[in-house]
Amino acid sequence: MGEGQVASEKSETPREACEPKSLAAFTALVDHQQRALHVFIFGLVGERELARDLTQDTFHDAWRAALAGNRPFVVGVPEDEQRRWLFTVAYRKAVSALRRRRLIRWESLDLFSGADHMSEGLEIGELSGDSSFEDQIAESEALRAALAQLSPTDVACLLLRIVQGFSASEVARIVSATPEAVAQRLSRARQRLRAAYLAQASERQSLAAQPDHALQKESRQ
Amino acid sequence: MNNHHSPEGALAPTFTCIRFAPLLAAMDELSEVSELPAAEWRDELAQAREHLASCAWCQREAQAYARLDEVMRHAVGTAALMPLRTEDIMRDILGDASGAPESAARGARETSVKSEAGARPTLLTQERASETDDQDDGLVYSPLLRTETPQREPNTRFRRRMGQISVALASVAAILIVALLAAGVFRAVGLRSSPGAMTQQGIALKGLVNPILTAITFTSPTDGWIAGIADEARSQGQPEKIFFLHEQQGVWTPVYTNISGWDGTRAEILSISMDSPTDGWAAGGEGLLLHYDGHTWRQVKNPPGFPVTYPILYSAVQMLSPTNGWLVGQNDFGSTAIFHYDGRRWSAQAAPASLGAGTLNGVDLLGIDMLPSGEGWVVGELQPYQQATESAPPPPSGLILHYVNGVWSVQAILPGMALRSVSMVSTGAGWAVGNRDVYKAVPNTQGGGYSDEQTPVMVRYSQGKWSPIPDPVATDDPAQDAGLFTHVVMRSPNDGWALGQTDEPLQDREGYAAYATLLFHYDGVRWQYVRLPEVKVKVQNDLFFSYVNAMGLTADGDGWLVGSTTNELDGGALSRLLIYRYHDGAWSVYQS
Repeated sequence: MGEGQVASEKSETPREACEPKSLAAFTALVDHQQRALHVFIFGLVGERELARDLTQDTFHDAWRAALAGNRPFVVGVPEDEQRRWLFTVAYRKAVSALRRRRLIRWESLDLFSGADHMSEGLEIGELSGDSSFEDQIAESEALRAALAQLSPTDVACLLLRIVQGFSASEVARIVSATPEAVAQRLSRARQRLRAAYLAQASERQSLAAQPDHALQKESRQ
Repeated sequence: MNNHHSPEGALAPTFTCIRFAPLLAAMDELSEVSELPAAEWRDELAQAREHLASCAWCQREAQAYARLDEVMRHAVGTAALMPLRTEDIMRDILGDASGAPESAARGARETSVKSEAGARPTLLTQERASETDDQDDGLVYSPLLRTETPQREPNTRFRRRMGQISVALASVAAILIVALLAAGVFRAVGLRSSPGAMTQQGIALKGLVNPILTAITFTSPTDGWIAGIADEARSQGQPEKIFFLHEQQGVWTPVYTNISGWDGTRAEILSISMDSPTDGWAAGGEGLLLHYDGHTWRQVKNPPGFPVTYPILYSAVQMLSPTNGWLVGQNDFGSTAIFHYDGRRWSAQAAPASLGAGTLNGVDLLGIDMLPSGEGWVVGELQPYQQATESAPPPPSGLILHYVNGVWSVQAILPGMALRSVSMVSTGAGWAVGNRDVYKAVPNTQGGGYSDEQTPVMVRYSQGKWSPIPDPVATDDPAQDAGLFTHVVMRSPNDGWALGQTDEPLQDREGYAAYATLLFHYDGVRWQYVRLPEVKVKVQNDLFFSYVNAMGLTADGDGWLVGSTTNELDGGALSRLLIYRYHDGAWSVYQS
């Protein structure tokens, strides 16, 4: 049994039954979730270094919970529950970090600089429609600028629901709200995001004089 | 299918479309939770679905939201992040697996640097370190190797047991230290408390951890309230709960609540105002609005007359009497938030049309001072909506609203600043404070990243005009040039206090950081910097911050500042109470 493997799956006592089933399983969990968690935190805090630290911190906490034999890091608990735990802790860490961060109020998410690091996730060409590469860049920049105008909680709800695919009820558990409140918040956040996005897109369109910009595409529909 | 067309032939919404528009923005999510008991929109949602099936305009709206989701998934899902490597994460975790005290105190920033540099973990246990000396570096750090050494289990268990014992001993020690500190420091502060009360005060927040004090008010020199927020020790990870400290005749007594934000999210009380010892209001973030009836603090949700159905941030509340109160806050989309209480209900007040209600303009109302004469002032910031460009946006403007003869009007707009607090000496004289904002572009951020650098600002009202004071915080310490003022309270034309804090952490010689408190006193001629007693908590390898969040003055000349000290620990933060008291011409400090 390894350094981190503190219990056997054949454990008989209740205490042992609550211990992590294996280091290999925890490593697999990290492998499965770290990219999504990293992207989620970065979307909230907007700083690479901070996002990296908080991601690492979150897994630290998970490991300690596993060593303590706490749910959901015990035998028989589905990875979905562990995933929700990770995003809950990550959300709280991000909000806490944002609260303490005073100088930089907002920083570009800088989504497309260093595109050579895009090892996972959707490729640009996969975005449906007849958008050109430049259009997609512009869309994403406008989206990023629009997101920066929302509150952290609204951004978190949107990221968790739309990007990470959690249900409204799961989002509610992560951000410690009721499902009804999250559904309402998502409605409000989408309306705000859309208004801000269209304004951003319109501005960029007028600057770049691109006739087939997203705004016009939408208005033509 | 219904067809709605404008005279030009384009699709146009009907009144029904407008009614259902908010539901279209989250149709799936609302459907998911529509069967829950609290879902009030169930019938509305069913009608919306029926309408959607036959309405071209609403179908186009739904498609627009679907496309927005698609753009968001693409933009965020392809974030250009240097990928974390699982082996780096695991190596860092296993380097900390012993739970050794030194590892518990390590900062997260340090963790990241080590991982990126690929350096040897420095927190290996003695046992593990000795093993690694005999192995090739390329293998030492692979966590998978460790899964094949079963003889380590007893040692891990032993360490865990020792860790539990250590935690228990540390807890006992912490309680003793807190009690000793409380007794000692409260003596230094000079609270008019009995010895028994001192002891009780020091350990009184039973069941709560990480307290932060956020607001304070006094109805008399011997009757005051402090609001705070703290984690429940038994359920950390849940939203923090609001609590109060109530002073009566010199004894501060905790008053616990089960209240958090409007929808269960985290929120702080930002302002308290009592019109008598048995009646008052407290307000804060996420729609927090609490009423005290002499016995209990109760949350008021969606009070009648409010034009919003979702929470806004309430910045300041001021009660002139049980039937005359004012509340201001910050809302979205230019819908200025000013409310009046008549003893029965809060009602929204008409804001000056020039502020652009219904637009994307940001109007944040942050401070209020209503005079018994009926006149009043509200200050805040106005951020005209501007579509993002590649450069930093223009800074906000300081906004000053004036209430007279039942009407709110814009009295002044001062470019380049935000105003956070106002205190009037009379209808013809007063002060407002806040900060100037200097936006600077951050290099190498695509799409216009910028930083917001703030410097404190003071504005004086005299002879019918608001005028900024040049260089209001001229001190010998250049670090204090950056920061902001958050509160100003004038006792008289010749006696006032302004509170704020520096914007960047100051580092002392030992590397500990603190957001220095900016405290200035006005003597009728000039504002003078007041140095507060030093606050320092020395915990190895931790970052330490102190925050002063609120200021309260009593009629007998005493002053109070409340906030928290925070230690950035590995994976979290530990906050403690911080209270300054001004008494007999000197400031003293209490730290829990």
